[in-house]
Amino acid sequence: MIAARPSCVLSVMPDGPATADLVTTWAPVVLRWCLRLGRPGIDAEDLAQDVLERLVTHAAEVRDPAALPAWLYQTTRRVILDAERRAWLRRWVPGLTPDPPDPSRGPSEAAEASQEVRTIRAIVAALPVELREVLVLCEMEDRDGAEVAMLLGIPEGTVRSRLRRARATFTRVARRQGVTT
Amino acid sequence: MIDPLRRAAAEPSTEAVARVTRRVLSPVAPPAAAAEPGLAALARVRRRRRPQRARAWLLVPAVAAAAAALLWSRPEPVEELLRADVPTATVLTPEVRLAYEGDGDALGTRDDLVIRWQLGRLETEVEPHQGVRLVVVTEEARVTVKGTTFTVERSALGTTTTVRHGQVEVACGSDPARTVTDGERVECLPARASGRLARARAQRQSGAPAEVVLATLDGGLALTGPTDPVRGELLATRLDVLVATGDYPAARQAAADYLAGGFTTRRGEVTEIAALLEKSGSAPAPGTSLKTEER
Repeated sequence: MIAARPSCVLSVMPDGPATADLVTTWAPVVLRWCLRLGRPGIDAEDLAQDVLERLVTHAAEVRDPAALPAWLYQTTRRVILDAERRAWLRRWVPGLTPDPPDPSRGPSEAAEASQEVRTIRAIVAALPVELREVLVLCEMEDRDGAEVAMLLGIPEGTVRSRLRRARATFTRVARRQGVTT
Repeated sequence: MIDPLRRAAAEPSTEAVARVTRRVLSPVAPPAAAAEPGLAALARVRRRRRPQRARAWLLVPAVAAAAAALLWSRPEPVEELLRADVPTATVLTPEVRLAYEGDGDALGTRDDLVIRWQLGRLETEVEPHQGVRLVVVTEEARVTVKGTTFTVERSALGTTTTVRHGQVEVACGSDPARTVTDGERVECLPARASGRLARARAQRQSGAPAEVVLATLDGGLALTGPTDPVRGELLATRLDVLVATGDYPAARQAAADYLAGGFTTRRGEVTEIAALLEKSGSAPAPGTSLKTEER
């Protein structure tokens, strides 16, 4: 049974080495979410580090291990949206400039990607977050409706309706920009 | 399913994952400041009551002399952060020279040093016969040395210690220490399940034979409990390897083990592959695989 809105509830998770195990296990997943859900100009590694540090701090508060994926996803979502808001604010406040991703970390995914891939990612990044996340989780990560509903803390029917709208919007914009769908 | 979206799905590189993990798990513990005698102790002596004043005056020069002797003879403290993305050389003390590319720190005194090494390559050169004790510690290994040139390299595969000159003692996990001499090398496997998972992924990326990868995964599974989140990742990776090698009966069992464990991260993918294996009785469609690899 999937909770309509899982809450961070309280059973003590193992500490010490097990917490480090959690970080090692979830780092690829969280970083993948930050890469796929974040907009250009947002440093995915910084955001992922932020999320995982919160995991280390709050791991003991998550009582049910089955609730951890949802807790992590929703924390990632909040961190990404906060970063996007800060980036938006910097554009409008005189004297503030957005922080570009650190180039010394190696070639970015965007730099290596083809023009079509960059176009597709830009289309996804421009979608409202509710449509963007269902598209990423269902289409890019092959998660089923039940799993996505659990991660997002919304009913499965809402996931299906958002996915329909997301697919329709993506297809319409992609065709207009010459992407084969 | 919209095919362009799958093509455009960004995947984090192994290096990016390692960087993020390292930053989150780096130790941040400076050594506690040693208590020092000094003026406060002398002031307390002076504030004693009048009848004891004569004795307090006698104590003052004695305490001051003792404090000076203690400070003079105290070993020189060492505390240095070792963090470099490019090969870097440093003289840690007159007796210890380092060349490194990676992440760690050095703590202790000039004649009794501990280097905690997290990730990357560390080469050390220790002047012999100077009474310097140096220990390099990683998650998997404890390397104790006196007067030797050796290298410690830590990666997803574990910790490898190579001795160029001299002799070191290497203890892997809780195993007894073994002596490693000129030209010898010893590899300490990751001590935790998550480390075995990282080792298995690194082995796959380097093209190691499937049986080697499966042995690593089985070693990791032996370190997990039934609800351990890492267990789910190990089982999913095992399934992926078995599908890739065409061992479909074992793959069906691996899928059943995953689903019976109640793991959720890859439930959708595993359910789909299990259904394909059951339905067709043989291979899933070409190209079917779990996204268990970092690219």
